[in-house]
Amino acid sequence: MLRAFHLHHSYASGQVALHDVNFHIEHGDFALITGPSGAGKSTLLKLIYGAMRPSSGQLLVAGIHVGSLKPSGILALRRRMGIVFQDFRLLEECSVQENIALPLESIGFAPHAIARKCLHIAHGVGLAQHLHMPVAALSGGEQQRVAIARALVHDPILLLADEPTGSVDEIMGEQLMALLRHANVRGTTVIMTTHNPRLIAQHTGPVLRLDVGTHHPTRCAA
Amino acid sequence: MSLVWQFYHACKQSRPFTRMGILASVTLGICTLLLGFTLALLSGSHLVETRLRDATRIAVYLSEETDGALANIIARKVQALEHVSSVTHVAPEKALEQFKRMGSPMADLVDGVDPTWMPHTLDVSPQASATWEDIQHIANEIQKISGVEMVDTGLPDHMHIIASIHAARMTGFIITSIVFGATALLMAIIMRLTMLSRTKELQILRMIGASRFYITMPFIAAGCVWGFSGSCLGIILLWLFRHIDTHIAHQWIGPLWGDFPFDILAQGHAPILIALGVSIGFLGSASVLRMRENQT
Repeated sequence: MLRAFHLHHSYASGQVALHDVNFHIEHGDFALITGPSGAGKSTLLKLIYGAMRPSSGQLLVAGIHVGSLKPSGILALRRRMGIVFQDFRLLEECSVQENIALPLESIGFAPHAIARKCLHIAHGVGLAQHLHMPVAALSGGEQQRVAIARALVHDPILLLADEPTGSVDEIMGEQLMALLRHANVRGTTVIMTTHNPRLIAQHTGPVLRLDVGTHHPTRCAA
Repeated sequence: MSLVWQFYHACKQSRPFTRMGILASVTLGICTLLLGFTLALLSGSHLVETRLRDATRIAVYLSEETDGALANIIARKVQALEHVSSVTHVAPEKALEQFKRMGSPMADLVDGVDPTWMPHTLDVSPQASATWEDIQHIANEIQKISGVEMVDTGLPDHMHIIASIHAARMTGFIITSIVFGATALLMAIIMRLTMLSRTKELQILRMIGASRFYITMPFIAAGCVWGFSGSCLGIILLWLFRHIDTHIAHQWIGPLWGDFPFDILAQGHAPILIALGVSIGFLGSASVLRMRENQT
C-alpha cells in the first residue's frame, strides 16, 4: 500500500524535515507514525497526500509515485483517500450531513445515494441524531467524529489521520480509536500520527518512529 | 450525475445572493441599463440610415438634344449598371405634372411652360443592399454616359446626417466596450473577494480531492446567476423608463435627439441584454478558472 525509499524532504529555509526515510506498510495495516514534535510526522502525511513533494527519494501510494503526479493526479489520488486533521477542517456553518457529503458530491454520487451513505456513516460514528445540526453547535469530540465520518464515507483505500485524538479527552480518544479500528477491520489501511505513549504501547500494528531528521522503524514491515 | 443536477448543485453551493452577490447584481443592472440605451442608440442609427438609403434616388438630367428614344437607350445602359434596382424614364410633360402636383409655391411659375423646352430625366433607384459608396459609384458611372447632362444623388445633403449616424454608432460601440469591460473587471474583483472569503472551504475541497470542475463550477454558476438577475433588474429599469410619461420624457430628453427613433427596449432587445449580462457574469467569474495549478 505504501512504500518509501530514501525519502528526504527539506523546507525552502533549508531545515531538514525528513532524512533517508524507508518503510513499507501493507494493505490492511493500521500503522502509527510517532515521534516528538518537529520530527516530521505531519510532513510525512502531507507527502503521502501530495500537499508537498519530496525533495528526493520515492514514495509509492497504492503503486503510484506521488512525487511525479500532476495536480489533477494528486486530486484523483486524494479521492481514494480519507484524511482526518487534528483541527478537523470542517465547514462550520454547514450541517453535519453537508460536511460528510462533501467527498461523495465531489465524486459525483446521486443525491439519494449521498443521503443513504451519510445516514449510514452517521449511525456508525454515533451522530445520526445530529445529522442536520450545524457543525459549530457540536463539541470538539463530535466534530472530530464528523471529520472521521467525512474521511470514511466514500470507502477510501487509505485513511490518514493526523493526531486525531490530540485535541479530545481520553474517553473520547478511545471512542475515536475504536472508529478507526473499525474502519481498518473493514479493509481500509489506516495511518495515524500520534505522540501518545499509551496508544503506542497498546498498539499491535506497525509503528514508524521519527526523530528529528531521521527515523527508527519499529515493528514496521521491512 | 446529470449535468442539470450538477448545475443545480453548483448554483445551490454558490450562494449567489450574499452581500457581494447583491452588489454584483446591482452593478450588472446599471450596466444593463447603459447597454439598453446604447442598444437603442445603435438600432435607432441603423434605422435612420436604412430609411435614408431607401429614400435615396439618383436623378439623371439628360442633355437638351436627347429625345425620348435616346432617353430610353440611356435608361437601359443605366439599368445594366451594378447595384441599380430600377430606372424610370420621366418625360418632360410628366415631370411638369409631378412638379405641379407637389404643391410647390412656385408651381404657378411653370404654368404655360413648353414641355419640349425641358430635358428628359431618369429616376434611378439603387438596390437595397447598395452602400453610400455604391450609390456614389453608380452616379460616377452614369455621368460618363454620353447624353447625360447632370447627376444628382443628394448625397452632399445627406452627408452630415450620415456623419452623425456614424459618430453615434462609434460612440455606441465605445460605450458598450467600456461598460462591458469595466463590468467584467468588476465582476472578476467581486468574484476574487468571494473566493478569498471562502478560502477555508476551498482548501478543504482540495484536501478531499475535489476536481477543479467541482471547485470552480459554483463560482461560474454564481457569475451566471448574477448576470441573469442583474440583466433582469436592468430590463425592469429600462421598461420603467420606456413607460414613464412621454410628455415629461419629450420635455426633458426629447430635444437631445429630436425625431431620432430612440426606441428603448425595442422588440428583441431583452434577450440580447440578458445574453450580454450572463456573458459578463460568466467572463468575470471565469477568472477563477485560472486558479494556479499548484494550489493543490
